[in-house]
Amino acid sequence: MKILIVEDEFELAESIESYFKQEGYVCEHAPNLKIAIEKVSVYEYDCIILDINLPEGSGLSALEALGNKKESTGTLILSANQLLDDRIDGLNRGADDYLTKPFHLAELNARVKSIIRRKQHKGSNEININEIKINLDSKQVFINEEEVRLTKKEYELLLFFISNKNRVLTKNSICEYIYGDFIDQLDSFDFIYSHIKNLRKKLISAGCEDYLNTIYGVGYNFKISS
Amino acid sequence: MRLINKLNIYFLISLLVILVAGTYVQYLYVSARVDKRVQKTLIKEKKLLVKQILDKEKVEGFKLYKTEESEVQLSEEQSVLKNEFIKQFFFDEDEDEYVKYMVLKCRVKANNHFYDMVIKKPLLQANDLISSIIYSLFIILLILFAIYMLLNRFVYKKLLAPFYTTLEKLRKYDLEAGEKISFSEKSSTYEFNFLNAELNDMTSKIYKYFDNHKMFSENAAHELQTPLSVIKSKAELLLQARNFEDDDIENIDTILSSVDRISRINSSLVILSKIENHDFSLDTEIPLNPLFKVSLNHLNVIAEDRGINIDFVENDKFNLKINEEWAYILVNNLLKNAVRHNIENGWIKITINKDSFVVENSGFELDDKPTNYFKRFIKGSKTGSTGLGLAIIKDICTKTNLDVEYTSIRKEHRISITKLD
Repeated sequence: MKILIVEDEFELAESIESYFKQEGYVCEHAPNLKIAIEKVSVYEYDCIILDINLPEGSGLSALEALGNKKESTGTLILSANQLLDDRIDGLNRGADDYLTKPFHLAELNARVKSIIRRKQHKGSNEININEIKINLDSKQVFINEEEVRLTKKEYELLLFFISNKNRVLTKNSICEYIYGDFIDQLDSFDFIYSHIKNLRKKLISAGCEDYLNTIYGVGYNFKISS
Repeated sequence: MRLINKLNIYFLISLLVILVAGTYVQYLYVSARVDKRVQKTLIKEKKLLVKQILDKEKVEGFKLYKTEESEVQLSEEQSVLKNEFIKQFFFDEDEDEYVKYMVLKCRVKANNHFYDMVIKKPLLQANDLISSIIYSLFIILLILFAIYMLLNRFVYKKLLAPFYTTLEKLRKYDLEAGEKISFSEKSSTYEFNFLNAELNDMTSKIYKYFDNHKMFSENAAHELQTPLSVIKSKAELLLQARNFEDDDIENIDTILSSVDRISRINSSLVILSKIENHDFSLDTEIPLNPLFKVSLNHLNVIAEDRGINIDFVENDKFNLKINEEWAYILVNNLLKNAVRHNIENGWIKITINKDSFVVENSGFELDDKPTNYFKRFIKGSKTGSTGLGLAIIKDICTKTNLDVEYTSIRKEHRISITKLD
């Protein structure tokens, strides 16, 4: 998988690169629009992470400049602007997703993966890890080919854990992934906690190994090696 | 105290001073004139007496002549004495008081005889003089003062009119409202033109600093987002390093959640300063009802977890001339607030009417007056919130001519927003 990070803030680009490299992705960094356009015209990327607050002006025009890219390339917009306008504008101009700064790398990772999956699924759109199989179209989960019925939130949580497997996931990042910008306080984690507890119970009773490790006071780590 | 009254008092005091000093000066002047006059009369009288002596001496030997006011007698001295004037008091039996006289003493020579001569004339009584001076001066000054007061009424009102116009403008001025004032009225009075010019100068400086300040907070808050993103991403990367103790991981997590908090406060500040700094395009009306539905959709994810029952009553369409962005923020903040400060298994009721909408919800009892929560950084005892949510709602409402009212009866909260015109 190949990802292009268009971001003028070097340190931030490096963090993203470092996180995605651990996922086994190939990352390239374009500090400005000119380099980004050059790169896009030469190479093929699975996903472009585009900061639209570039010093050369609104990155939304960048979105258009990159618009000639291949159909299979996804785009995720990063913006420091929380206001609605950019978001709607960006999505209207062909971006696949939108994330506001500052964001959790885990969430960026999950969203990029989801974009790539959506863009590239040919035929079956499935995730297979050991005994777990997830059908992304029908949103069904199978353990050892046996279907496990999950609620919408349990399903989302499982997807988030698998997208960020072998990572430390903080309560905050999990909350934000599930509740979006509606989470402003930690006590909402109590509810997330009960969802996670239920998910774990369902998976174990279906014969799945307990991959979910609790990191006391911090969050979880979904430890799995395929 | 009004300027006119102050002037009147000063004028009155100076009139009193003039009255006292004027009386004294007048008294000195008039009495000096009277003295001169009397002295001249005395000298005339003296000449008359000398003539009489000469006449009488031819007939008989003249020894003594005495009347009430003059006394002439033969002198033993053989020399002439010049005129000498003395002021002296004599008791007047008719008036039963001492009366001041001008006395002329001299020695004259007539037909080889020397005569001592004393002639006196009464002077004007000092207290009579003073009282008549005071009386006349007082009347003059009284008339002056009356004229002055009358003039005050008409002239000063006209003269000070530009000044009061300026004052009224200053009184009505509200910097926050963003309107600019200029003191452009020309008057024929130098000072008022000067004042207006200085005020223009000063207000334009204030605008400049105010604008700078506003832009500064907006830019500062905006610029903070990127470094915050960097901190957040680096801390997250640290979290993934494998050789950490549990304590270290917990510390990093604390850093992360603190950064989250800063960035939430910061993004609220960005919104607040944007509301203050920019005009909303208010030309087109947009319906708020669909925005409520969109927002409720997002909210349901968390509301269903918390067992909050949401009742959405649409009596009518609420249309508002507002930029869609701000409308979204307004609705979103209201509903977020209702969920955030709710209790488990609580309720929210949203009612939309033609000219108003109401958000009611269950929650906790307030520690403070409801209106105080519109101030920035005032929040309930729950730690998670930024204390800026209601401030944002209030600011948007003020900008779009909406009245926002927050009431709370024990554990029930009600925010109603009504169109003002």
